[in-house]
Amino acid sequence: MNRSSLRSKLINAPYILWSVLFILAPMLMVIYYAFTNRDGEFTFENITALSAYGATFGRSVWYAFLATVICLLLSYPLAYIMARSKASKQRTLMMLVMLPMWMNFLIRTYSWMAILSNTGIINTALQAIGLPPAQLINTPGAVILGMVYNFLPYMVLPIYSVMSKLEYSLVEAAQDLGCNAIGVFRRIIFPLSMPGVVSGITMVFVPSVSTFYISQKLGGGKFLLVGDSIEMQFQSAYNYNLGASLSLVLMLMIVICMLVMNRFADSEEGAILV
Amino acid sequence: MKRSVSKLYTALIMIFLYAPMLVMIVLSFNGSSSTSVMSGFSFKWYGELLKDTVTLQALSNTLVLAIASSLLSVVIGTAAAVGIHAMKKKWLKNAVLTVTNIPMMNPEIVTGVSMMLLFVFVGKLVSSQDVLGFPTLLIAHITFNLPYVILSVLPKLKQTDKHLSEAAQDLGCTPVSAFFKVVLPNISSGIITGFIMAFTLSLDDFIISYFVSGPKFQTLPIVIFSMTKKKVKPDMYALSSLIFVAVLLLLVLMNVFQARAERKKTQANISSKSSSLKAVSVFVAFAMVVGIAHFAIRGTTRSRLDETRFVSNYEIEALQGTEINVYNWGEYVADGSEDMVNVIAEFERVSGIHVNYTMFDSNEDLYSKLKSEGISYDVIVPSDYMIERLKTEGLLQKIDFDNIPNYQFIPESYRNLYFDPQNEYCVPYTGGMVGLIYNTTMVDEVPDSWSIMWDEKYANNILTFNNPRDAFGVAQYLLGYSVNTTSVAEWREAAEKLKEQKPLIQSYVMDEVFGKMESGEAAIAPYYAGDYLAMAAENPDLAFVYPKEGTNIFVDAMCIPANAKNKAAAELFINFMCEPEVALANAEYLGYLCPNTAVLEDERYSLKDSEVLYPKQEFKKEYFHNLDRDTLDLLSKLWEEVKLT
Amino acid sequence: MEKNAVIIDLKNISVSFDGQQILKDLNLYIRDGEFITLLGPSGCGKTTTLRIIAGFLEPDSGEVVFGGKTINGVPAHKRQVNTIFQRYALFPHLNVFENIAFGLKQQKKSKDEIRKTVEEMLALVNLRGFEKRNISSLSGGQQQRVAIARALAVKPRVLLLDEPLGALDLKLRKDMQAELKNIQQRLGITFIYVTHDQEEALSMSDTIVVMDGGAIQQIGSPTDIYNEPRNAFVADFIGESNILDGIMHADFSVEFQGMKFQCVDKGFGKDEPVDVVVRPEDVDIVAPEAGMLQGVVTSVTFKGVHYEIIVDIDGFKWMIQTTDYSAVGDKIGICIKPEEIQVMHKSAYSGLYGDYSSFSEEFDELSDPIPTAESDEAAEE
Repeated sequence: MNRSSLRSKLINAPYILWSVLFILAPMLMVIYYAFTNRDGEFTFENITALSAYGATFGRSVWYAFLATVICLLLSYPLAYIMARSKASKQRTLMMLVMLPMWMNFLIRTYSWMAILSNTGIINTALQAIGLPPAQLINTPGAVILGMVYNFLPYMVLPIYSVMSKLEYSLVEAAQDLGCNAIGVFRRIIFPLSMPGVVSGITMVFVPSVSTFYISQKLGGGKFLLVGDSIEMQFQSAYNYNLGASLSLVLMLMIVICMLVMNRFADSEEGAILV
Repeated sequence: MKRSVSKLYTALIMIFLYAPMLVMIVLSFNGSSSTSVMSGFSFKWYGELLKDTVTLQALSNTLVLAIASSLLSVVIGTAAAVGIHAMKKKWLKNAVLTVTNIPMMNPEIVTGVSMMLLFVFVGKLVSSQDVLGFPTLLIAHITFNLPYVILSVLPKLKQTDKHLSEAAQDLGCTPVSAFFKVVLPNISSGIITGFIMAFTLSLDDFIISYFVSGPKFQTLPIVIFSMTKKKVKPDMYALSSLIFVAVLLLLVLMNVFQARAERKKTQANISSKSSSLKAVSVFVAFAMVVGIAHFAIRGTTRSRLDETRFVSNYEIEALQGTEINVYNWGEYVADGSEDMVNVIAEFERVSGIHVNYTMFDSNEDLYSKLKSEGISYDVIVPSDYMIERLKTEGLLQKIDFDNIPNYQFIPESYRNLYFDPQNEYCVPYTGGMVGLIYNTTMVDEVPDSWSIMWDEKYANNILTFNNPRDAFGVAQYLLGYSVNTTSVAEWREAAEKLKEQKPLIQSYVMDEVFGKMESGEAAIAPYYAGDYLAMAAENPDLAFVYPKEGTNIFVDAMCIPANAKNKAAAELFINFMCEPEVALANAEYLGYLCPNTAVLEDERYSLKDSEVLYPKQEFKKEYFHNLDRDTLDLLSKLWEEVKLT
Repeated sequence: MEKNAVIIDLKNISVSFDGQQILKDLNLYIRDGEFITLLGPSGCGKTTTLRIIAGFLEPDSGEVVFGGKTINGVPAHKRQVNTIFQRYALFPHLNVFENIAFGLKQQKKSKDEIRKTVEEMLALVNLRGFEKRNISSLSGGQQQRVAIARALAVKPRVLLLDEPLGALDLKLRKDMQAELKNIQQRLGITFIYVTHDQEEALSMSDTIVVMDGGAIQQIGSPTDIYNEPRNAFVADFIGESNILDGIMHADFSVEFQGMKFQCVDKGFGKDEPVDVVVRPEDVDIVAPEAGMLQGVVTSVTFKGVHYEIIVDIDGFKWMIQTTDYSAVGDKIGICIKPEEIQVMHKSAYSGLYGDYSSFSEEFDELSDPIPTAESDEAAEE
């Protein structure tokens, strides 16, 4: 119609083109595989076969949910502390949060194995002070810990990024209006940091649901997550069709989870998600 | 008081984040090759690292890719975020945002495979056989980075007064320059966050990279993950520690400079823009230094191969200056570490042929890539059953054995194998057998049967394979069935056996078996004989036995894919790998069985008389065969059942 | 005030968003050097009009003429108009000096010139010595001054002000009103001022444009607008009014509340139904028997200079401002001079305003709020 809408089209065009080419086209391929058999004939077989995966899906969502909640609880105060520190310190803290993720995933995970295993650092320390050893590795807790560890920065950064722009005068205004510390947090800081929280939840929950190496390494391979199943279908089983239908349903579930979450978040922020 | 609480909290989180880093650094100074048990202090892995050209090349590749992809995704992502932010139609906005999230929602392997298929499809349209490479890696990385950038920038845009841009235009800026002068500085922290996230993701991505990478460009995670059939080499710990310390130092330096600068101009406000730009530029500079350092290090490898005997065979003028793509298992060739010959470098030197050497960690990964036909390799090293599958599907071509005189060294027992009865397609490279590894301090008896893996005495001390074929194999041997059976009943029975075993299992493992057995974490594990030797070197309490019920034997052999481009050079390479001196170096390095008579008779070969590798008594052993699809489906279904009980 | 040449001429401007018509066939010309105010409630289209002049918005139809040339399609940065935004839109990443210098740098002025102009501007808005200050460290009034300085630094021919004082407190607002008027007169540039505050409009403007529902209701000088509102909307929006249904029997004779009154209006049809406006301060209170109309006092509020009393006359609640005290329940009579009666044609607004039966001051305040971000956006989009 006019200049500005033409301009916004120009800005959007490259990304939309990119999305269509590299996100939607591969996505269509996934859909194609999910609804065909190996000979390329249309079938619902792969979808009906999923009934056996209820428990796997349930577990994946539950673990990812726990990991997300823990990440949020751990990250939020840290992000707040970061946002309140001096500018130079903020950057340092931000880099410190990210730096461990620059090390290779396998090496990080092996290091956790060395810390958590029965003959590992924690248990050696426990025994040294005369306490009974604890079973840490190969438990659901270890899997969730692995998720928290690997995705924590993706929760910290968006929350920090939003909070760093939050005006302190708002907090003062709230205090002025009779809010105590809890009230200030509940009524001012938290609502205003929602966009960051929502971004963070997305960035932690979504990859947690579909992760697979973590459960293999820290869970002793005993807690099959849906990511593991998908990996197996694509690799050893060489059944792309079942793998595709699994991931399609996984994606659908994530979308539903996010929609449910949007109910809690404000509609405007919710738009970021789905 | 309050300040000290927040300091304590920050410290606790940092301990959580950095505990594994500390472990990593400590282990990088390990005197032995274990990555779980510390035995003595040494710098040797740092020395090894300097000689490891494949790793260093991969490191610089990784940095180049991470920087390029994160910069580009920041540019595209910021533009996209601005566009999305300006969208008035809510449904369109939501649609675009949903699509944006897809790369995050898709399990990486799905993204990886589907992108590979897409690239290959496009490649076929332009009739290119080598479509996979740096550009496809770059596209894939940008694609999975984008949602993180967009999700970091969007909240910032929301926080920014929308009238700012108008105010700047009002004062004479074009809309474009208004964006750069006014909006950009105000969303810079979101952009920086997005950049750092993108960089981090890109730096450590393995699965997607694996599927969309080609023979000429391999990243560090691919190298490290390719080692997971054998064992992650401790020089990776040294490398990670070096990177870690370097970045940490840089942070400290930046902080010091920043503090000084801030003291200088206390009143004047330092716009956050300039300092974050500084941070980025320092960071880019750092990455460049690492890259340059690596090129400086290159070429320090020394040759130790006495080539006088055969060098003339390899000076073929027609092939000089050409290149071949070799695709091998990780950690599957003598690479110059531990005072050994760097086989690939030696081949390049004597033949003048450039080798693009890349690695995989499972037959299935190799198969997916080969099957996609988006890539052409000249030499690959699949295992027995995979050779059978590849051959049946026409993905291999016959080798001209006239060009491989060294085939004479391949023993009779490694010829006419079931997957190549006429000796047309492959030249055996290495092999091995699965046996039972046990810790003598934890197991009183001398086991002779797989049944010990069902013994409740060792509950929670037993490891088993974390891949269905091998794990089922153990049950099938015990039950006396073939591992290649097509009988559903037999498979089900084996599955029942595994379900019965599950409560006793400590964990399902692949390469983790090294750490767990070396440290005494577990008592019993089935694994490959050659790997037992490596474990026993770390933990002398370990013993090995071939159970009486029989076991699996495997052969990894060199093949030439049907779409190879440089067959003559590939044959030259295969011949070179069978050269007694080269084969000896590989045999020593790998510790696996060596199908080469010259080596087996060589006095210098330290494993020559190893009972573990070359047992004298005969027992039942069986190769894996390629399973038909129904059986494969059944197997994966049963395996999941086992895992779910 | 000398009337100069027309500088801006809006011809038949229409704008709609998502099927909702924001401006309907608007025509308006603005003279050079004039202080013109667009006055109206939230959503009346005043901000939209301003944005069309600024170039942030293209009308769906109609012509924007600036200095004799059509400027439809000329982007904002090429127009010789500058805007002071409602919430100032100061650049948070730049300090005071850099903010004011922004437009000058854009014009590629020399360093010295920039420095000189910025200093001049800071002097103009009484902010000497604030050059290095951070925007976030300034008070609202100071930010407002920086915004004025920034817009004036580039020497625009027309300055657009979008509710510039909306966020300031009352005292500061009064001071700034005087200061703005002062600046405008000193520099002699055209100010187009958008507000919903009728007092502000009356005290500052040369010309007031009253808008509602995307259309201009009346254009005139403050006194014209106040004394001779064209319809019930204008009468109610500007000041307080008692608006009654009436019938114009003949020239100079109008009937309302069952009584015939003498008035000064003429030119209506015979027995035409009309709206009659009587300002509260124009009603005289007399003894019941001496009054033209009689009623009972239902409420009395002391306002300092006067009392504000509500009188029920045959069910219609009149507001009267008087210096004489009456008690609630008193029976009183009222007198109205012919020249205080303003007769208007019936309009779409007839019957909507002017009865004080549900009057409460709080309610009045609430219904006339400082536009929030949302309502502002709604008005624009």
